[in-house]
Amino acid sequence: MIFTHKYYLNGMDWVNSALHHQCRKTPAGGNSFLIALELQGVVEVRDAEKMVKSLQALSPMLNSSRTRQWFHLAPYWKFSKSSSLPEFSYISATSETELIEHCEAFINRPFRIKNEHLAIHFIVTVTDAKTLVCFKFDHRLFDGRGGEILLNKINAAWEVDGLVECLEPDCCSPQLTDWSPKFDSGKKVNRWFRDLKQYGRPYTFTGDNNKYDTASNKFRLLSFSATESSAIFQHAEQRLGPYMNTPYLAAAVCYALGQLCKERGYSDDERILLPMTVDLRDSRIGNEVLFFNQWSLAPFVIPIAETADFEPLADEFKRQFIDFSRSGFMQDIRNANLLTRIMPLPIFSRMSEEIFAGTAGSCSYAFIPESSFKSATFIGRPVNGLFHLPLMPPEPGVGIFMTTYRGQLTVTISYRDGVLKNREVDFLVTQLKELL
Amino acid sequence: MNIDNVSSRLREEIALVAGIVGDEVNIELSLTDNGVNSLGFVELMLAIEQQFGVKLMDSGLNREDLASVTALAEKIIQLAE
Repeated sequence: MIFTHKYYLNGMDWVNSALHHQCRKTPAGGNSFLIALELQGVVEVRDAEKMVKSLQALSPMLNSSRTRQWFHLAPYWKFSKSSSLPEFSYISATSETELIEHCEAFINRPFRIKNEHLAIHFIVTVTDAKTLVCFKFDHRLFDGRGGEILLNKINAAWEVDGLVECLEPDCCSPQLTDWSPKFDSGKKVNRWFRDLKQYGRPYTFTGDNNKYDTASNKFRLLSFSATESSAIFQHAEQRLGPYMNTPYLAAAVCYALGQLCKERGYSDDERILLPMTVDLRDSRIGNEVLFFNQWSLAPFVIPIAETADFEPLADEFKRQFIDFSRSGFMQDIRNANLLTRIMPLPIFSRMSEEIFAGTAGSCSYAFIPESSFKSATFIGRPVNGLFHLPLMPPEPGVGIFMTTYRGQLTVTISYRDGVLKNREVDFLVTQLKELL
Repeated sequence: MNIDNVSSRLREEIALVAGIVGDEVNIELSLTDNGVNSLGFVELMLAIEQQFGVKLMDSGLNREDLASVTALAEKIIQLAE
């Protein structure tokens, strides 16, 4: 595949560039996420090498750099002529407990070179005959679903003994026309956040200062079996109706966070701001859109005092979810951010903090109802599980992410070291387990 | 309001929210199999409310009602009557 065009950043790409900027002092040096696949059996080094080599055709994109068009200043990705392959490492672990530590070490180290956007880490536990394959994605180029689409493509290439192929990114326009709807969206988004600010700064687990700028990232996993997951989804449907797993699980996360706020102490007027990531790809071309950020946000707001009772909380999340859909707010956030691309990143980062009432929220949240990667095997080995391990920017410093792979729900708690104490993470896990 | 008419209008709405063309919507399949996700589902319910004047979201929809586009069309007719 030959990449012939420039790719101009959309509004959410620019948001991710700002998040990358905010993460620059952290050990990882930027904003990234892992997708981990747990495979049965030991993946041999030669197979790992073969898989990495199959990514050769994507090199122009995987080594690209961001720049601005000189006359209208719209930011774009400049495709590279480099043919270098993604960094690839192979390590053995003595026990399963070491796996998460290896994942933490992997996400907390920067990419090998500045313009590298994908790295792969194979962690083999010989005793259990398992391999955890971790893909580290630069969030400026990939979002969660994009990462899963790449796994599909790697798998397809493996099956035919060929190279990974993909469509050229389909965004060759700088989107500098049709300003009126963009400004309308900007007005709606500004108004929403101005209303939010009336109630003061939302509750944050980081406190008021930025002392977690240089902290490393930690993970905790909570896995549910297929039977347990099915019971959770059935209960969500009985409680809120069909297709309402997303607000139901968001309410469960908010409930657990609310209990933790109570443990920590909070003032009566404080609120939880839970920005939920929503994928906006449509199904027609969705499974071909590999690169860049096609998501937006639904920012749920709940007074902490109202998190005590789960049933009304779940109803409130459903109401807000429907309201966001009705008003087109998620599309507005995406469109409004097209207007921010003119700003240099340090200014945009500072301005975002101001708009978001001084914080990006209390806790990030995302739920993938069914992974785009559906295959039962990867590079010829059976897959036992798949989960996402996103790195958290210093603000909000905490995120709870849920992935479903072949009916099995996995919850990842991701946090900057020190934002949550170990016993607080245990507390969140217990709350979620008991509730779900 | 008859089943063919409602199914045909539903087909157009599903195509819109799933980002496919109307011909690609299979009325014997469920909404999920036609590419509707949770966000698309809410958008579809809002469109049905506007087009047919029925509030499906508050009507206690169950799995059987969503087993196929035809089943959903029958539910809309039943509520509209």
